[in-house]
Amino acid sequence: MSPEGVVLGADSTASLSMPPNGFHYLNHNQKLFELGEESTLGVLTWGLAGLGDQSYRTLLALLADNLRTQPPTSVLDVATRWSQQFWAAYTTSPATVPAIQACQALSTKAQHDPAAPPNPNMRSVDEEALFNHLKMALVVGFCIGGHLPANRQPDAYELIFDPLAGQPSPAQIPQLNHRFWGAPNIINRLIGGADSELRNLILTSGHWNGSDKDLDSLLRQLVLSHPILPIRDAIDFVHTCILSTIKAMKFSNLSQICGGPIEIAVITTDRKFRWVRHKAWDAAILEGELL
Amino acid sequence: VTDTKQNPKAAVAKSSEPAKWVVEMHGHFQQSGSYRAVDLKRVLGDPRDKAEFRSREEPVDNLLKRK
Repeated sequence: MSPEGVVLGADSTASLSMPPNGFHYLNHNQKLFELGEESTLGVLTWGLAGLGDQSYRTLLALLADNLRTQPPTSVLDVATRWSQQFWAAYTTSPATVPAIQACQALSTKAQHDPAAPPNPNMRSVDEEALFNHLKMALVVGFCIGGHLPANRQPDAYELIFDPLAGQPSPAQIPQLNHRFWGAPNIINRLIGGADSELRNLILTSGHWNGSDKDLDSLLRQLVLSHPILPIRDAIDFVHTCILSTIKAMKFSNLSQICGGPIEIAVITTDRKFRWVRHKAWDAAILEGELL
Repeated sequence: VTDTKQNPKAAVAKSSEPAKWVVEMHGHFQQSGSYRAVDLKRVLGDPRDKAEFRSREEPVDNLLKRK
């Protein structure tokens, strides 16, 4: 979020499950959308890549149609309509309903305890693994940002659709804040000096004698910070963070689950949605070619 | 015997050996072709979570020094 507008960015990798086992990584997925045409709003997504035969592209186009016939009163109004529309699709799609129901059913059972005798009210080893997988894999998030021409006030909202929670209320992103989703640990380490895993490891290590607040106070000293950036530098910042995450994945123990072309859009308060970087329709054809 | 307390470089070299969870993660991946949720959460983070930072608002005095 910038006083000059909103910058949105995303990588392009889709991790597609290939039954019976394994994943296939496709590097030209669309995670960033203009909401309609000639719009002042953009939408970013992460997490669950789709609802089977219902694409996010189509669902967002339907939202844009709705906004055209019934003009919104605010960016919050847009986010609220998306919450209603997407929740209806998320909870009725044949692609997600069985998995959501399985996840919800498993959540009613107690956590697996290897020391306890088998119990129908306690998750088995396999059920525990399935539950942990589903409650992460079914999460999908959206960020809707931009402005309405009537007031030109940059505004953005976060929506997290979670199989174990109800329809989300849009959460406003404070002015001047930057948020990163999907693989937050990398950016937390890079900019914040540590991620929640390291914090928890220290707190539960038995070697830490201070309080949680003492540790947080120390970690805050490591945070990299910058002043309010001109919008082009804000664009550079967003691009740098996505590229850093991609490279961290490349040189890590995991598969390249974040990668492909980096897409960036900017919605300045004096203009409509503009692509800063947007892959061409032949991007997948050209993959691997020398340009 | 290398005293890693006296020799931080030795500590770094030692840390390049894969952790137990990394070995287990690779073993699970080789068997199933997928990563355990616990490993994804450890490396990537929770998909419901975010990294959030804020631009520093400079005092007016500093703004006046800008050219």
